[in-house]
Amino acid sequence: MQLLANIIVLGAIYALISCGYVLIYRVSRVLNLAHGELMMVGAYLLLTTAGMIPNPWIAIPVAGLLSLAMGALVYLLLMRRMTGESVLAAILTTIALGILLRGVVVIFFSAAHQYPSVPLGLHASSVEVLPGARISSLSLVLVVVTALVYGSLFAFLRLSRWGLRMRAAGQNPLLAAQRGINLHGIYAMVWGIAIFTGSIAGMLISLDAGLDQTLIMIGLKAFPGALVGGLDSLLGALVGSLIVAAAEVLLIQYVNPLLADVVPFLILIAMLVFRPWGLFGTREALDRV
Amino acid sequence: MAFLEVKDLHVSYQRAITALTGVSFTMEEGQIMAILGANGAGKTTTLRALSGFIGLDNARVTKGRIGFDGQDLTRRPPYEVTRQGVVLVPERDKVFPNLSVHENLEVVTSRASGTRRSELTDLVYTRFPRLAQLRKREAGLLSGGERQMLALGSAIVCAPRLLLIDELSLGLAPVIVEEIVEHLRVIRQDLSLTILLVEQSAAVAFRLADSAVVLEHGEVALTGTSEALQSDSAVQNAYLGTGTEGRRSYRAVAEARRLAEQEGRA
Repeated sequence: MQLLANIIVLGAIYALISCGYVLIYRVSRVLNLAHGELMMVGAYLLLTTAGMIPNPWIAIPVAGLLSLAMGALVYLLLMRRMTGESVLAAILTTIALGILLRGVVVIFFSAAHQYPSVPLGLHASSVEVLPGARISSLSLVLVVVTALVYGSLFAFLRLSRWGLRMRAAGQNPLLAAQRGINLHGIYAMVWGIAIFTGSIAGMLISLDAGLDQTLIMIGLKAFPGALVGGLDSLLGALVGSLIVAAAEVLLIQYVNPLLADVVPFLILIAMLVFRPWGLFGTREALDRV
Repeated sequence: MAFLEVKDLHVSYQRAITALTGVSFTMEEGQIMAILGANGAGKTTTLRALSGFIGLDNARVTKGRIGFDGQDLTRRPPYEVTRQGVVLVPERDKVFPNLSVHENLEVVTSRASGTRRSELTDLVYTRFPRLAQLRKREAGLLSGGERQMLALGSAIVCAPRLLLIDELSLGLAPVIVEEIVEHLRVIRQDLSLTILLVEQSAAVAFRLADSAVVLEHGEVALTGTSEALQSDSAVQNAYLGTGTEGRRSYRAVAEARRLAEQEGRA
């Protein structure tokens, strides 16, 4: 039971992060390899707002809005220039951005391990969620938030006018533009949403476990989840994240705890060899990477 | 001032390959004009330049001007051009395959008001009853003819004043082409549209258009009314299969005619 609870919590973390990879890839065909770094910056935004306003009900939403704006700005100031360049150039740009952000974070926040939960006065308590299975209260919040985020994303993409435009832009950007859709607006919006969801994950993790540059590693470990499911499928990201989390938790338990950082990437390699378009992805979508 | 004025338009692809080298022509409101020419003459490029390039297609207007109803549309992105009422029906990838028929109409973003939008959507469903039956069907599952109707329909919902149509008849059975041409005629009446079309089939082009521009190697070789061009020997040879002479370049024909005129004047 405890194992199952651990799998669900880890799966929720990966899923909350990996939907950002999927959203950006699905709509703009760019793989954002700075997602881990941007998510870390989001968590540092919370550290900053928590230092100024020690109320979690204000500090967290403000940091969330700031991360939304940060995502949109990354597109408008940087990635926008990459429209029309090769996909490889765009991906390399995100890698460069990631390296830059690592340095900037050290300069402004130091490399020390810090706790945004301290100024906010939050203490994680232990909750019994299943008979014989206990998780921290913040992990429970994380699972609920992941469910809410996925629910709203599905509804948004299916039902709203902006979601419809996003799906259209993802299928054929040129035709979308010829049908009056402002691509830059759509891309800025999707970057904003993706970085927002990633940052929320970063904030919740750092409230629970503290904050330093190792958060980037969690961001990277969530990527195999997106790829296992298929890079252009949200449902795939959810299922893929659970698969990767299950493999990781079970191998740590029964084989060797040192495998923790290796397992997601072993799965990634296996997936790339046998079914590179993922479980739920579309085959042709991958040709464009 | 002309409704559409294309002046000395130069377009190059990949910053090196030149596709258009100085195309000029004008259109009046309400006209239907066809662009004719061999493969690679620059027909599609002309339409695409009018509808606006985006970074994705590696093409750009290097020189020249596109004026539409008193506005400068040169180098404006497609979404702005569409909102000005210049709307393209592209040759390929003309619908969103994973959206339903209705979603394909709904996704359009135009400057038309909400009521105008639903009027235009109703008009599309009235004029193309087939689309109304298929509202919920994914566009990727439609036949070629249905897809062309949907492409026209989604362009109509953009509230066009100038409709650019690339290859209306390509890959479609003659009966279907006949049907679509009839629908298009009615809609043109409904909305008093101006239409610029590119056609492989000169027979279809001359049935719809009242005038035409013949392109050759990225330049205008001939222009004229449909009647004048249909009786032109070079056009007959190349497009209508009714001519008697061997194949000749239009440029050569135009040049010969110009020289003859000069001699006549002198």
